[in-house]
Amino acid sequence: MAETETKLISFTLNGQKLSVPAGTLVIEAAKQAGIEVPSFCYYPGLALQAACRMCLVEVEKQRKLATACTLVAEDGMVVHADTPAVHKARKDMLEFVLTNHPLDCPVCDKGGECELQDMTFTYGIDHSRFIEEKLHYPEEKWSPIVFYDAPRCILCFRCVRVCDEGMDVKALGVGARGVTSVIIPNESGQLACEECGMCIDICPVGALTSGTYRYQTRPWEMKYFGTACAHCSNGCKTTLSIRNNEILRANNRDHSGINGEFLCAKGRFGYDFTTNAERIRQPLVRKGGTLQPASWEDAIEEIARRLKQAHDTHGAAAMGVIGSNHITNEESYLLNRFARTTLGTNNIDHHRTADYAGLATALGSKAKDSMATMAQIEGASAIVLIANDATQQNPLVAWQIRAAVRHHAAHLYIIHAGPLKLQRQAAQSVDVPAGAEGRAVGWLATGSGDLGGKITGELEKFKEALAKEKDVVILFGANVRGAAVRNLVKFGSGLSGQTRYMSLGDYSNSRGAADMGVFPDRLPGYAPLSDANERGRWGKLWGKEIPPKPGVNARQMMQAALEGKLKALYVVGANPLKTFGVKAPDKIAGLDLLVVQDMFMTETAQRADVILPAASTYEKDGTLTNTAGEIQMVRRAVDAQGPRSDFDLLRILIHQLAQLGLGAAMKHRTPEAVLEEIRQNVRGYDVSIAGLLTGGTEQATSAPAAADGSYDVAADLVFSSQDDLFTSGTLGRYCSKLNSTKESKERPWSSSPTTQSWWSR
Amino acid sequence: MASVVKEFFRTFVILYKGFKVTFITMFKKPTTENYPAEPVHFQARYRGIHVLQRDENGLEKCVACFLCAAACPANCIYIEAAENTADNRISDADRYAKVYNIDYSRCIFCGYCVEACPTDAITHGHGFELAPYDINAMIYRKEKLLEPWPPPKATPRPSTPSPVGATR
Repeated sequence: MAETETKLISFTLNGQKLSVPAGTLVIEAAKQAGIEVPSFCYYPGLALQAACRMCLVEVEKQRKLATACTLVAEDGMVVHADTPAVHKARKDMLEFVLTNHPLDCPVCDKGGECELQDMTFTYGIDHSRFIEEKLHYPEEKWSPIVFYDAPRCILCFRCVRVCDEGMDVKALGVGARGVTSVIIPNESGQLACEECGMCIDICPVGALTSGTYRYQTRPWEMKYFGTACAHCSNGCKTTLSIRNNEILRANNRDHSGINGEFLCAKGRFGYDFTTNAERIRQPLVRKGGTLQPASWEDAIEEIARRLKQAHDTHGAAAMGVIGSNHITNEESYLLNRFARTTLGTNNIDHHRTADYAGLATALGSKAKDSMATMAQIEGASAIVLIANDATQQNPLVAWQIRAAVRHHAAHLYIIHAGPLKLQRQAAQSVDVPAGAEGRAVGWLATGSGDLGGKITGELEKFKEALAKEKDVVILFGANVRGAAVRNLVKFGSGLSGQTRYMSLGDYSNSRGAADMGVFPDRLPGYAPLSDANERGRWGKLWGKEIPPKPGVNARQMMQAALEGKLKALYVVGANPLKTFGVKAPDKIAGLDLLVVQDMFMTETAQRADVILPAASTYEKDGTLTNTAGEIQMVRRAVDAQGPRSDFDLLRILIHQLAQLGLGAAMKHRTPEAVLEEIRQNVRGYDVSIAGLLTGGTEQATSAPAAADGSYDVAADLVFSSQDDLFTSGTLGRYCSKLNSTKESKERPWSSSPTTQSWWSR
Repeated sequence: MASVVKEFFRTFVILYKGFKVTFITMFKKPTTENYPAEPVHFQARYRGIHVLQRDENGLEKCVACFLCAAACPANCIYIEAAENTADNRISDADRYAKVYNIDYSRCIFCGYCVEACPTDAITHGHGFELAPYDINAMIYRKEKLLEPWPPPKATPRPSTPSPVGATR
């Protein structure tokens, strides 16, 4: 925000002396002072409209009433919001709004949480003087998830503005004039857009309704659970509406959490995987070549027995564990304990969707002040986006970038291969060949690198422009990894102002898995395995010594399994066969035992010897860490019918194996207890528990004690799964509502121009 | 002597007062009903087992607005709503009640639901024989509460006494 706006002015509202920063709107000042000024069309963060005229107030020495939403408070101004004239104006405006509004509240989805209903009760009228027939238009289906009922529309244009300004999609417009105005979608009665559903959420009445929720229940019949979204790594808070142990809706109308009211299509409509018919609901054990239902006791017994057998015959080096980008921090932590002490192996890894370890080791002790939060993106004066299509892969990051550019005139700089929608906001954009982003960063840091004269010239200007910025946030995707991250940090720390970094991963707890040390060579908090002190500390905590030899990574594990060197593989919430493109026949030849904990019959699960059905993020308690390191609590909003949480499964198995002589038993029974252990022991996780319990976020800044100049990672280990707005790895396949939109059939990075949508470019 | 006459009169007055109602009622038509041997007579506004009404086309009047459930002080109404489609049209509006249960082990027959109903879909009928052997049988489903369609010929309506058992 500009410095000049901090000057205070004072004015009188309802006889109350108010002191506000110059430039404050009267409606905002009233809100802060607790004085009610009603409005429909005014919406913080969106352009002023003054269309509904509900906020009329009386200003002394002005003949006519003024709209408080466009009235800037001036020094010495005297405003009245509680006079007979104002009350009459509100009543009359409501009567106008209601001229065409149908009285179908009993069947309207908004009934019970409708702003027009509330206003009518508060200020309104119990009769209408209009005898003219109401205008009627049939309901329109704009997409499988957006419906428009024109008669209910009160023409506040919030939807049009949020689609244009907030989302930068511009899919909605106003058609016709005056009383016959209607909202029209962009493609002859149909929507072609990002299907974010922001228009539905922002609609004050029931004109825009959600195809996934409509006509199922009423707002007061549901219970509301604030939790974090299960899909991408941005960790938007989502409020799940529950009835009868079923999620009926997801939104964030209370503006709580890091995302305010923002949610993308996945967060808003991608919750129905929990009730998908293909969900595995009981343990399966392979008997005579086929997977057959088994009891929990038998399945656990089988796993424990065969793990012990494999461990005793082939040794700990023949065991492997693949972790998940979706399970909670507590579960990743337990999995780490399970691998390193129970199985006694360092063969533990996961699909790394961003080089979090690279950033942490490059920053070292500087991590605490150098990791950006989602809010800091909006506050930054310059944003650098490297190798990531944030609009598609990190929708909240893109939303924050747009807000920064729109509200605070921040400058956006992009280094990316190919066109991006965010280039519309960019001050400068450098198009580099795919895969050369790391080299471009290297050029920025060292001035050397073979990139061609044109790109080098552009990067030169890029560097010059950035040197003038005060507060820079650098966002980078998976293609910036290993040495490139170190170069980036070197370049960033050379800038004159404050520089913060954010590594952009793919899944809901990608960052958490990394922070919890699901690596063959790193312990929780990125503590190096080679450090004997760290090994000793964690070994003492987990009741058994940690072997010093680093394990093999995920790709090597899959290769070893094919070659018969790995005998037992334990997979939790991951699909390594698909992720790493492993070609395997029905059974992975070398493996004696493949255990999979998952929700669905993935490619990996199909080849498993034992499958344990796992609960989803919405069905368990724990914490997730988003890509910015912000920790949030997730809550058990619905009960899983059959499956159990990964936490429970691991806890039971650790006990079972401890009885057979592998590892030590653990005393913790709940995720809360393990969170406590994490807070006390994982570097950077010593956050306030109160902040988490009250539904807020706390930033974790996990990093090793000292920066490590030699940390490098193979290029084929850190890679993005290239999920877009409508895909979410394996989980996305089971979101039928999300997949019902026509946009979900298109792939934004498809090379064919006919399938590229103008709205996403 | 005078005291005897006085006593006689006082006794007579007391007896008259005591038996006045008895004597008057003795010659009136009895108000008791010979239930269950004979049908029961109801006042028109008697609040009995609910009836879910249909409109003149046989469509259900209930639009699943949940207002009855919201008004219910005993919390005994349970509804699940669903959308009407062209090939499955149940009510006249956009939605209908897929499930509509009333738990008569909780219902206190206060009539708030009837008062709350914006479409006059739920009304009180004159049924009252609720006692079952199994408490689960006291949860009445929509199928049991709905007015039959097509209407049975010459349905005895509340004005005429209906035979026990067929009472609504």
